[in-house]
Amino acid sequence: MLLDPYFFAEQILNSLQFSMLLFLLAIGLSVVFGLMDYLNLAHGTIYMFAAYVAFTITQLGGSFWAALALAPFVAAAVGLLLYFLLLKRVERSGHLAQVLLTVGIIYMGTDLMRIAYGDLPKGVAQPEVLNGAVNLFGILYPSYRLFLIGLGLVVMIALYFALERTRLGALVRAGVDDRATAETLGIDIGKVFALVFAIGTYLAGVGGVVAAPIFGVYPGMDVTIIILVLIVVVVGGLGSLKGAILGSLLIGFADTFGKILLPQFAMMMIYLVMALVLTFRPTGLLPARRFSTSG
Amino acid sequence: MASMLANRTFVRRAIGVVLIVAALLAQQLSGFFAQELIAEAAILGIFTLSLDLLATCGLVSFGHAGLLGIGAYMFGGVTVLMGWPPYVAIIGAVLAGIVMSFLVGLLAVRTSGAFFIMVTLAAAEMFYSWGFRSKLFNGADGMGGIPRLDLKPIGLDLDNPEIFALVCIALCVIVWLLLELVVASPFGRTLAAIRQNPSRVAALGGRVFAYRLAAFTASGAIAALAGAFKVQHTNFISPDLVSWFVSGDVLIAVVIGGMGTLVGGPLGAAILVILKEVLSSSFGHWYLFLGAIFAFVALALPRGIVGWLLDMTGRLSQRKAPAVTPVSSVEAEQ
Repeated sequence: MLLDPYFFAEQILNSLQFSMLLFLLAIGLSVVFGLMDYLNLAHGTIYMFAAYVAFTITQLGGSFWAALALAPFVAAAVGLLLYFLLLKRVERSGHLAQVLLTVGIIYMGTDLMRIAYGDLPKGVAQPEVLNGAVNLFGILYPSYRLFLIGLGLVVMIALYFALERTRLGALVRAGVDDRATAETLGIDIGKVFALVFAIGTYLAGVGGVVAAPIFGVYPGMDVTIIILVLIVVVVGGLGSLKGAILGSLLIGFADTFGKILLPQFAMMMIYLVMALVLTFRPTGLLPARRFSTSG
Repeated sequence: MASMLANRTFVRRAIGVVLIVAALLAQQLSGFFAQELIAEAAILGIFTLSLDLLATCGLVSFGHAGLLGIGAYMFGGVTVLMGWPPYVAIIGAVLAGIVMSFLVGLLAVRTSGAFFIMVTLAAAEMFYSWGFRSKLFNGADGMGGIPRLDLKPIGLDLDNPEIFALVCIALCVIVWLLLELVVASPFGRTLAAIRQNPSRVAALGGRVFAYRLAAFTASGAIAALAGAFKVQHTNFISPDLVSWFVSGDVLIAVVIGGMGTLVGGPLGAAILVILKEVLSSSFGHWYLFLGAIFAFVALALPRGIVGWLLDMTGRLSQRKAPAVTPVSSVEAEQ
C-alpha cells in the first residue's frame, strides 16, 4: 500500500495538514507553560468555543472568511476574560490547583455548549473557493486542506519573526529563559504573559475555525484535541517555537501513519513516539530551557 | 491543645478518625442503595491513597487508571477465564500491579513534573487501546460475571451489599494505616525530602531514582488492589476502567481532599462520589455544576480541604503559642 507513491504522497500531505492544526494549539500552550509554568487544560475549550462561534456566524449568513476573521478575536476576548477572572488566581498555587480549575472550566464549557447547541455535531461549510482539488504532480488534493497547510506555514514564519525580531519576542524569550532575572531587569512579565495568552488563545481560535469544516463542531472536541496537543508540547519541549513545530510534525505524522500501518492501534503509535522521545530526552526534543524539569 | 494543633501529623490522623466514624455511621444508618455508593467511595479512597503515596515523593500521575486496570483485568482473567478462586486472583492482581508499575516506572520516574504526568498518561492509554481491542476480554463490550471474594468461612457474605461496603471501608482503613506508617518511616521521610528538593537529596548521596521507583511500584500495588475490588463491586470489566477520565477522577479527588495529606484522598473520594450522585440525579446538565464546584475548590482551597484545615489549625495554635515554628508556611512553598 505504502509502495504506491501517490498514496504515500497523499498521506504525507494529510500528516502535514494535521500537524498544522496541532501546531496552532500547541504553540500557545507551550509558551504559556514555558513562561509561567501554567498548565492550562482549558486551552482546548477556547478551540471548541471558536468553532461554535464560527458555526453561529455561518448560520447567521456570514461566510467562512467572516468566521475566520471574527471568531478567533471572540475566542481571544473570552480567553482573556477567563484569564483575568479565574486562571490568574491560581497562578502561584501549583499545577494541581491549575488542573482542578481548568478541568472545571472544561466541564462547564462542554455543558454550556450542549445547552446552547445540543449534543449533535454541527457542520461548517468550507469556503466555495476551496471546494475543489488541486493537481499536485498528479495527485488530486483537496484545496481546503492545502490551504490549511499554507496557513500553518504562514503562522509559523510570522511567529518566528515575532519571537526573534521584535521587542515583545525578546521579552518573551527572556521571560521563558529566566523569569526572575527578567523581572529584576524591570520587565513586567505579568503584562507580557497576558499578551502572550491573548495571542495563544487567538491562534487556538484560528485552529477551531479551520478545523470545523473537517472534523465538525461537537461538545467534547476540546478534550479530543487537548490530549494530543499536550503530547506535542511535551515531545517538543516547553516554551520553544522550534519545539512546538517539531513536536506537531512528529505527532501529526505518527497519528496519520499510525492509522494506516496499525489501524487497530492508532493511538498506540503516538504514545510510543512520546515514550521513546522522553526516554532519551526527558525534557522533550527542543526545550527553551535545557535544565528545567520543573520538579 | 495548642501544641496538638501545631502537630500536623496529629491533626491529619484526627481527621482520619473522624472520617472513619462518619463512614461507619453512614454505612449503619443508610439504606440499601447507599451501600453501593459507600463501597464505591471506599474503593476510590484506596485508589486515592495509591496516588497520594506517589505524591509523597513529588510525582503526580495522570495515568493511574492504567495501574487500576492491571489489577482489574488480572482479577477478571484469573477468576473468569482461568476459573481460579478469587483470593488467588487478588494476589495475582497485586503482583501484576507490582510488575507493571516497576516496568513502567523504569522509564517514567526518570522524568518529573508535567513530563511525568504525560508519560503515565501515555502508558495508561496504551493499555486502554489494548483493552479496547482485546478478544480475550471482549474488547470494548467488556466482560461480566466476575465473582466476589468468598469469605463465608469466616461468616462474611460479600454478595450482601452491606457486608461488602463494610469490607471495603475496612480495607481502605488498613491501607491508610499502612501508609501512615510508611510516610513516618525513614523511607517515607526520604520520599518527602525528594519532593522538597531532589537535587539536594542526590547531592547528599540519596538514590532518588531508586526511591521514586520504589514509591511508584508500591503505588502500583495499591492501585491494582483497588482495581481488584472495583471489579468485584461492579462484577464487570471494560476498557472504560482504564480511560483517562478515571485517572482524572482520582486526581481530582486527591486535589479536593488535599494532596500529600493521605487522609485527604478518601475524603475527596467520598465528596466526589456524593457530589456526582446528588448532581446527576437532580440536574440534566450536571457537569456544569460539577465543573463550577471544581473551579470553586481550586480558587478557594487550592491546597484542598485537609490542606486548608491544616493551615487553619496551624494558625490557631500560633495565636496561642507564638514560639511554634509555622510548619505550614514551609510546606506551602511546595
